Amino acid sequence: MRLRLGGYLTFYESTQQEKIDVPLLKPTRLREILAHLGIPASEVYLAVLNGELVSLDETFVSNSDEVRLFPPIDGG
Amino acid sequence: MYGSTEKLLRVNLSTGSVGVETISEDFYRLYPGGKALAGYILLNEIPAHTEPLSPENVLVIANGLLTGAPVSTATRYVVSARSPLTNAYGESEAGGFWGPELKMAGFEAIIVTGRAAQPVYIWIHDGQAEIRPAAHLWGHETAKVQETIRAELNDEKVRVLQIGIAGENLVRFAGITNDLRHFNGRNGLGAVMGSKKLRAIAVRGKQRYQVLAHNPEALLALGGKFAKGVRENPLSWDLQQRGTPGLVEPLNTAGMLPTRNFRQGAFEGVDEVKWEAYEKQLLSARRSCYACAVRCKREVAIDGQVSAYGGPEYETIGAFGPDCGINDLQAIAKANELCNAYMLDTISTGATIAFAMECFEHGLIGLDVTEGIDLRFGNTEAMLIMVERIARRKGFGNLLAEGSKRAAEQIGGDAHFFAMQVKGQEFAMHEPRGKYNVGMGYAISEIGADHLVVTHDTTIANPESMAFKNAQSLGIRQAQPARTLNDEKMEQFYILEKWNSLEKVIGYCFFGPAPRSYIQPNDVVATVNEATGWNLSMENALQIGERATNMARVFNAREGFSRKDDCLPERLFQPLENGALAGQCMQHDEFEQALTSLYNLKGWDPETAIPSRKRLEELSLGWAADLLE
Repeated sequence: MRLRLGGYLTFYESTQQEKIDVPLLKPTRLREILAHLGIPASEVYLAVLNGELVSLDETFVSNSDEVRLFPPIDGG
Repeated sequence: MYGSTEKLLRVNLSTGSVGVETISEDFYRLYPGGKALAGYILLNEIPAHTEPLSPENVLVIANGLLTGAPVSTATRYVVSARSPLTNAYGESEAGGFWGPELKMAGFEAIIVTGRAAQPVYIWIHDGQAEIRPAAHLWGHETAKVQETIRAELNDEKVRVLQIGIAGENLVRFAGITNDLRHFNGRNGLGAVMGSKKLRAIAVRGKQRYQVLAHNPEALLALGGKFAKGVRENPLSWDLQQRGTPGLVEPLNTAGMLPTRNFRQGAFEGVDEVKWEAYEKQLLSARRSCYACAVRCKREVAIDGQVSAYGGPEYETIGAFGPDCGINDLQAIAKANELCNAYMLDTISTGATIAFAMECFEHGLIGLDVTEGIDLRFGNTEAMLIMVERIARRKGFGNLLAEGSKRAAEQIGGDAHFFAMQVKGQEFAMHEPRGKYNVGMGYAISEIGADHLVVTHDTTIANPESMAFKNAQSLGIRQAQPARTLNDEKMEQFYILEKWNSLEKVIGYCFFGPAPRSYIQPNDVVATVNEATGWNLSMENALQIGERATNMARVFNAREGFSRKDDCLPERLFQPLENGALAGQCMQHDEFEQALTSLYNLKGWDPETAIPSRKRLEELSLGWAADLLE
């Protein structure tokens, strides 16, 4: 799968890349993918699967999918 | 008395007199700087019902308690006066280098009264001040004026705070800049300077802050910890990497990117204006404020030339971009440059043009009124022309220079429905239909719609999040959804408003302390204690913030403001047209109930929204209660 990390979520990725490819052998729950990558689910405010807003718990992701994640957004 | 120069500079432009006043320790403890110091002076020195653009208005520029200290993000000063945009208590903060330089020059604040017969500027250096002629500066762009002042004072390191031609022309949302890249944008305080014929205040000083501090070593250690901490915390790290332009795409995804005058929450042209486009097309460098390790300021190149005025922040991108239906980043950067050369508030300028675009599309104004300008959403050229005309008060720009509320009254019909403002000040680029406490902040703020009253709801909505855990040391007990206004949420608001008000007293930037950013609340209080030698608890500190808010509220009560003015435009109670929040809106009953709950928490009369004598006396403001009787 292609994963794009928005805002400060990039901070948690080991190489601090915004775009990473995550190979998946089978459909996997999104929350489990985040745990594997060390990205805290508590900091994810929005998850977008192929352009649609989704929840972390109910969503399974396949290798051909694109997922975008964003943290909470404040002002300034 | 530690942490303070103890000196206030008073300048009477009518008589040409300059004097120095000293403050006592007792006074300092109650009104230690920034918003609190300015609030005290405004309430005591501006007679009720003073016309904002008359010589009787008093302009106060006050450093935060810590401004000038070697502490990351504590660099800010406040400008205050009765606002010509809102006719209410006026206030706007800025960072940069000017505030610390004023401290090094020996002053906590400047009080400017009267009106000069001819244009002038004030030159402050090492405990002294003089009024100098500025007729040769009047009518020029800000970069030229800064260059001229530095040349005639023969010092490239002089820090220049100034207005532009918008302030000279009394545009009601004219701002103030320092170093060309830092802005007291809001509330039209540049017009107050313009009305006084005061073009600039130049400062230079050599006193080191550390000689004033109670425990300079401990303060320096905290400063070092904050400098190091920036890159260890995701929130501050992201501010350094992307700065505020990084907000564009996530807000769009969340359905909270104000688009076409807040009709919509998602913009089809977002890819052209988001951070990745900004980084590729505009970014030339990252810059900072004094002693700040966050370095969130952007420098940009337009048409290959590095702009003297810095890059557009998120608010500016939002106002001239999606809110006007425009997806041209170069044009947005150009609008930013024009605003800063003429010194207009980019938020109110963009939002007022968006208001006019909607009036035009609804046929409330035609080509005869706009002088042939096709003022439709998405017309980049029209947007840039209107920025020029507003600054010069030329043609239709003369009406828009009054702000959207007054312009709507002149245009008539349904125009008032399209003015996205509270108390006359235009909304910042944050969508209350997705963040209800931001809406409450817009409504209740003494300075009109302001997005920095409380931490935004989404930041602390998840009880497991880092930001929520950081907020608990302020007394926040339960996480709440972003789109609710229940009693627990009002408790949050009450605490966070005190906290953010305290930041404006101390001089901290919104991007320093938690929960928005990375400096722990207890460390914020520790910096105050090490600077002053006090032993403030968190509760004591929050009370300083509450005292400052209550002085502003009393100022407004004296001018006739009441609960009816703590309101929101009808559009927020109607559904968003598109995006992730399509169909969502706020509810009147919920909003009114929440307002009553909040007034009760604040000790304000729920019918009049005026602070009770009891609460004012608890805040050592019995004298302010007397002003209302």
